[in-house]
Amino acid sequence: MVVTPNMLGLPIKRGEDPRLVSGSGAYLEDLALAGVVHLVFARSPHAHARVNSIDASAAREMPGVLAVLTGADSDALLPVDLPSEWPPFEVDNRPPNKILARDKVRFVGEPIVAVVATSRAEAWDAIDALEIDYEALPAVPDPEAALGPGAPLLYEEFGTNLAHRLVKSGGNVEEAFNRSDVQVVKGRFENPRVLPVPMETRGAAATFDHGTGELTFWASTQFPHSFRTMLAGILGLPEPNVRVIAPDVGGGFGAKIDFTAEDVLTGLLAMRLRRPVRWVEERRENFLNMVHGRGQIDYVEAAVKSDGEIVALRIRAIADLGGRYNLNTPGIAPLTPVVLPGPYRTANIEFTLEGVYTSKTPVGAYRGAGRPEATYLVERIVDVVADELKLDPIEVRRKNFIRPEEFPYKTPMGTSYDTGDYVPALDRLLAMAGYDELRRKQVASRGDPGKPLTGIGISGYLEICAFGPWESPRCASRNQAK
Amino acid sequence: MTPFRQIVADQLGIPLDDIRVLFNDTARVPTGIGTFGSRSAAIGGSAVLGASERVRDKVIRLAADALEASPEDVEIEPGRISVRGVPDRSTTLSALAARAYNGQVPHGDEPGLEANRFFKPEGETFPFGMHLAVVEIDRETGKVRLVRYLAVDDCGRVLNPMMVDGQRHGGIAQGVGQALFEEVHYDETGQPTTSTLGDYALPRAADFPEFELDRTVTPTPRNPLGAKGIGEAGTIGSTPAIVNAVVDALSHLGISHLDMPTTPEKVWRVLNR
Repeated sequence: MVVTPNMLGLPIKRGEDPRLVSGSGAYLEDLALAGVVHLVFARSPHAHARVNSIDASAAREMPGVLAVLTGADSDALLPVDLPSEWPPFEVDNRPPNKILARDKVRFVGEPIVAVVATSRAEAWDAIDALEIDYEALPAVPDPEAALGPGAPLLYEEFGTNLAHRLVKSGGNVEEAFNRSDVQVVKGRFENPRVLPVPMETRGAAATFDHGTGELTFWASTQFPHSFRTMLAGILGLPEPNVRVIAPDVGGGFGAKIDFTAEDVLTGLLAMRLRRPVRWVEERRENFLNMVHGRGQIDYVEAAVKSDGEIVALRIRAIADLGGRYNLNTPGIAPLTPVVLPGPYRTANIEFTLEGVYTSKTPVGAYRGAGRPEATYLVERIVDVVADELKLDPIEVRRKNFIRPEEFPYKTPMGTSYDTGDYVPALDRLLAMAGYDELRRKQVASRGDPGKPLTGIGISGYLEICAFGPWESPRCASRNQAK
Repeated sequence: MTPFRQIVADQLGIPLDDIRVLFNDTARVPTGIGTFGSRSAAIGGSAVLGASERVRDKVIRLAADALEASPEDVEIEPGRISVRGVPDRSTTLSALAARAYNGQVPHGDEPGLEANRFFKPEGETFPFGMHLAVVEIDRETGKVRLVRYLAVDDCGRVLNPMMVDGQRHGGIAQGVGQALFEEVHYDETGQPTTSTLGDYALPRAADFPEFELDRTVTPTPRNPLGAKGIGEAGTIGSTPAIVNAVVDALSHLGISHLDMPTTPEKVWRVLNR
C-alpha cells in the first residue's frame, strides 16, 4: 500500500481567509443574542488606593439596571479565588486573587464593581452614580524601586513587594568567573512592557438554560477547552453542562490565554438574571485590563575568554508583574531560563528571577513569552562581548554555537534541545545579505555627513515550542448517505 | 486549519475541499487543550496525522473486503482506492464510508468510519534561526528607518510554506514594533500615559521593507511530522537584530547599548550629547 504524499509542503491558501478578509467573520461583538443585557465594570482610577467604602445604592436605582455587584457581593456569591498557574518558587508570596477588588486597588483599570443593564449606556450611567471612597496611596510603578527600602507596599501582609524568587543554576559559575583567562562583560537589558493589541478586544457572552442546566459561553479565547474546565469549576457546574465557543478572535498573541473576573461574572450573571449577558472591552479598557507583554529587566554578566568563548553567564532578572496575578502572570519569566543560553555552548549559568508587584496592569503571555527576553539578553551580550573584545560579532557567534553532532543537547538549565544546525542558517543569511559588501558600504558612508548612519545587526535565536501535554482530534467520515 | 486538511488529504487521497476542520466549540470537539506556544502544527498536526492514519487503516480493511483483495494489495491514490495490478477493481472513499455506516464491515470490525487519537509528544521542539537587520539613522532627527530585513528560519518540517511565511511576517512586524516604537508608559503616579492608539505607537505597513526570507529544514524527532513551530520565531529573532543594528550604527560614538524602543528622541540625544 503506497500513499503518495502530495499536499504536505505545498503553499495552500488558508481556507478561512475569504470569509475573514471579505468582512464575513463573526467576532464576539457580532453575535446576535436575543434579549442580551450588557455587563460593564467600574475600574480603579488610582494606581494604588485603599477602598474605604462603596455606596452602590443610587446606581442600583438607575433606569435599566439589572444588577450591581461589588467585591463583597461577588465574594458572597462565589467565595473562590481566580486561578493562576505558577512553577515552584523559593519565595512565594501569592496574592489573594478575589474576583473583584475589595479593600485595595493596585492598578489603574482594576475591576471593582460590575454593573448589568439593558443597554451599555445605562450601565455606564450607573457606574457614574457609584460612590466609591478611595484613599490614594503612593504608586510603585518601577519594579526596581519597588524592591528598594521604604517602597510603598502593595500587599502589606508580605512586608515586601517581592512576589516570588526563582534560582536556577548549572555548571560551576563561581569557578568559571574566577578563572584567570576570562574577563567579565556586563550589561543591563530591558524589555519594556508592550501591548498585544488584538483587532477585537477581550470579551465574553453567556446564556443559561434553566431547564437543562446548560451554560453556553462564548469567549474571545485561544483555549476553549481549558477555559471550559476552569469556568465549570469556578461556577460549580458539571463540566459536560458547559459549552464554550470561541468565535473569530481577531488575534490573541497569547494574551487571550486568560481567565478573568469578567469571564466569571458574565457566566454567573447569565445564570442569576436568566438573560443572555455580554461583556466586551472598549479599546482603552483593553489597554488597561488585558495583560501586558514583556516587562523584564535583565542584569547580565558574562565570563569571556579573549577569543570570544563565553564560559559563564550570571543573570539577575526582574519581572515587573503588575498589581496581581492573572492566569499566566507568574509563569512567563520562568520560561526565560528554559532557553538559556540560546544556541550557544555556555556550560555555566546562574539565573535568579525576582518577580515584583508593581502598581500596574498584570503581565501575561505575549508572542514569545519569556523567550524573547532570553534571546534579547543573550544576543545583546554577545554583541557587547564582540564590541569590548574587538571581535567580529559573527565570529563570536560561530565560536559559541552548539555543534550539530552534540544534539540532543542538555543545557546547564536542564533543557534538552532536540536538533539544530546553526552554521548553515548563518552562512545562508550572510550570503543573502551580501554581508561583506554591506560592511564596506557602511564604513564608506559613515564619514559622509550627507548620508544617514547605517547599522547592521545580527541575531541568532532558539526557542521552545510544541508544549504538551496532548491534543485529541477525531478524524471521521460524516457522510452516512448510502 | 489548512495544514490539518493537507495532512488528511495525503492520508486518505481525497481533495482538500472534501475535508472540513471543526474547531473552536467544545460541543463539536469534545476534548482539547488550546492554541499557544506555537504548538498547533506540531502537536495538533501530529494528532490529526495519528487519527487519520487510523482511519486510513480501516479504509484499507474496508476496501479489501469490498474489492475481495488482500489488504496488502489495496492502494489509496488521489480520488480512488484500487487493487494493485488490477486497475478495473476500484472504489472510492465515499462508497466505503457508506458501506461502513450501513454496517457492511469485515468480520471483527465495528461499523462507522472514524477514529479518535490522543497525541502526546516526546518532548518540546527547539526551532531556531538567524536574522539580519540593516537600519539607517537620520543624523538630524535620530529617526531609525529599517531598510532591509533578512531572516533564515528553521522550524523543522514545513507543512505549508505560505502559512509559515505569513507567521514570520507577522512575528517580525511585532518584534520590530517593540524594538523601534512600542512601550507602555506610566508616569510616577502610576497613571498610564499610553492608553489610546493615539499615544501607543504601533508599527504600520509603511515602516517595513519587503522581508527577505529563506529557510533551512532540520526536522525534530519528537513528533511524527518533524515540525517544530513558527508562530513566535519572528518576534523573538527580530527584536535583538534591530537593537544590535541601531547600536552598530552608533558604535563609533562609543555607544554599546541603547534601550528599547530606540525612538528618535533617544537616538538624537546620543547624536547630540
